[in-house]
Amino acid sequence: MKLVVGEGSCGLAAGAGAVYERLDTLLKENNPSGVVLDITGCNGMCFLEPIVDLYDDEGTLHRYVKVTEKDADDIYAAVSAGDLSSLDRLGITPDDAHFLEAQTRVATATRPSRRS
Amino acid sequence: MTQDDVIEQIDISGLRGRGGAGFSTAFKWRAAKNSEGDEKYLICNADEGDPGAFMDRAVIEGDPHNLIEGMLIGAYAIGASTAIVYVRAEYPLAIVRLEKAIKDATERGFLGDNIMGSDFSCVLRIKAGAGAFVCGEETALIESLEGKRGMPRLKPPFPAQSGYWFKPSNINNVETYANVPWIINNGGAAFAAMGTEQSKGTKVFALSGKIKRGGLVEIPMGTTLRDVIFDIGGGIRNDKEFKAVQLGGPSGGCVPKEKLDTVIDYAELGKTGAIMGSGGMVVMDESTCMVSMAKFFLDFTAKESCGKCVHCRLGTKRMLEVLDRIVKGKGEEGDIEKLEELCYAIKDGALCGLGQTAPNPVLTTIRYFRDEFEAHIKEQRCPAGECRDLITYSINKDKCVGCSACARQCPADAITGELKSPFTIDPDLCVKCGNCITACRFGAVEVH
Repeated sequence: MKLVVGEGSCGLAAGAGAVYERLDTLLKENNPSGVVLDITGCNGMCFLEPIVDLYDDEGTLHRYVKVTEKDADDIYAAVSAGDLSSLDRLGITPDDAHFLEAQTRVATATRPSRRS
Repeated sequence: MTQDDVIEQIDISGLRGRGGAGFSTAFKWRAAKNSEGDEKYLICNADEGDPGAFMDRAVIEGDPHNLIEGMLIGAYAIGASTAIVYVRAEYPLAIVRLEKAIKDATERGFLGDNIMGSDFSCVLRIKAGAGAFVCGEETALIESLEGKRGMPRLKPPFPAQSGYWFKPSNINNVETYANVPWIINNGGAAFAAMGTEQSKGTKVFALSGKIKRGGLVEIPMGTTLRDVIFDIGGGIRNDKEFKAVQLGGPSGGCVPKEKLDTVIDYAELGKTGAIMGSGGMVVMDESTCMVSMAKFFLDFTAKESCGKCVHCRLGTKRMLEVLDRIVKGKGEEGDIEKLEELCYAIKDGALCGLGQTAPNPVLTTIRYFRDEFEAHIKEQRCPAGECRDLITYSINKDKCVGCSACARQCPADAITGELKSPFTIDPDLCVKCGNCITACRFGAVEVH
């Protein structure tokens, strides 16, 4: 499982740094196996920052938006429990996802994470 | 692929400079390649000075390797063995990320001698800017790279013939280079399959202002402004009325509601009086004063003028003085004509793009919102209710319940009254900061 926190200047301005730090602390303290934490740049959805992308064991992307430092605890809890349903409230809405889906990314293409 | 093969694909793609000028990238690369000499330079313009533009920042912070790859392909094509990225100092995170990317790429053999075992060698370094908008102009950028004050040079000769240290140089914007790897991987024809006749491919915009969903929007050329703002952007915040969209920052112009179906295309946008620009797209609603907005951009360009040309240096200053008088209610008959005269004079007499385009915001706002100028000048009235000297704040006695929330937030002690009776604002003390409007839960504070 992989957690990726958006840390472009926009994300950091919105508080992504604190979200990352909290997730990092929780993961290091408890060391659940198979969970990797990483950062990424700005995917352009500045109005939804901080954004945490979770890739589950099947490689499916779950995009959580407007994540606060407190939400980081909930994300960690859900990941440890192996049940992501409690995080649905943070999930991106279809309307908001349309912002990205309607675009054609060439210069700002976000390439999917290759490392597992 | 040979150097000519690479340039051929860029040519087929129809890629035009994404920094704003929209000049044919293949033409520039070919000119640099054909220039005589072994010492050539490839430069990336990452100055991104337009207020409200952050497309390049996102590329450098998010995928610096894409930029490095695009630059290396360009360096190979023109025969340069030194590449330089000129990044504005106001992007410290971008500089840090790019430095790491360069280090990582060098360690893996993608930069330096005999890249990937080939005959091609190229090093890449960063030069940070120092806070000058004019250094986004390619020749002023070169002067800055050479350690001199950023001031433009006369063109011709063009950088392709005589650039950095007067050697053949190619300068392109970050976004231009960011498209190159995709073009080489997918072929120029695939890029040209998107867009319009004269404007191929996609363009990245930084959508901001009074919009529900702001951020980076990359769409194929040919998309309408309406689609970007209302479909992707979700429309105006709080569902207020759309008024205008400013394209191209301080060099650009505003496009009004009637022109929302204009397609994104270099020529089509030019017809409206605006420009494609680097991609800044600031959306305005009914509460934005267009005169004040024009003054904001002119204030910026007047400060950023390097001073070399009399028309730009003094012309922008004089225009700013006129606009300042107008927003303060001291406009005079003939001011609009004076502004127009100055606009055309500056365009004629300026050596570089800064001066040549500085009048654009004023020209387009006069063209589409002349009535606002006239209201300010003839009636000392600001229709949008924004210009501080022309508005008064007052409390509606029918709505005020006398809770004193406004008085407690007033930094000028301008609001007085007795609890449970309507309060009043003293117009002589009021600084129109708006705290009272935010504090009042009954909507009792009105702006006239």
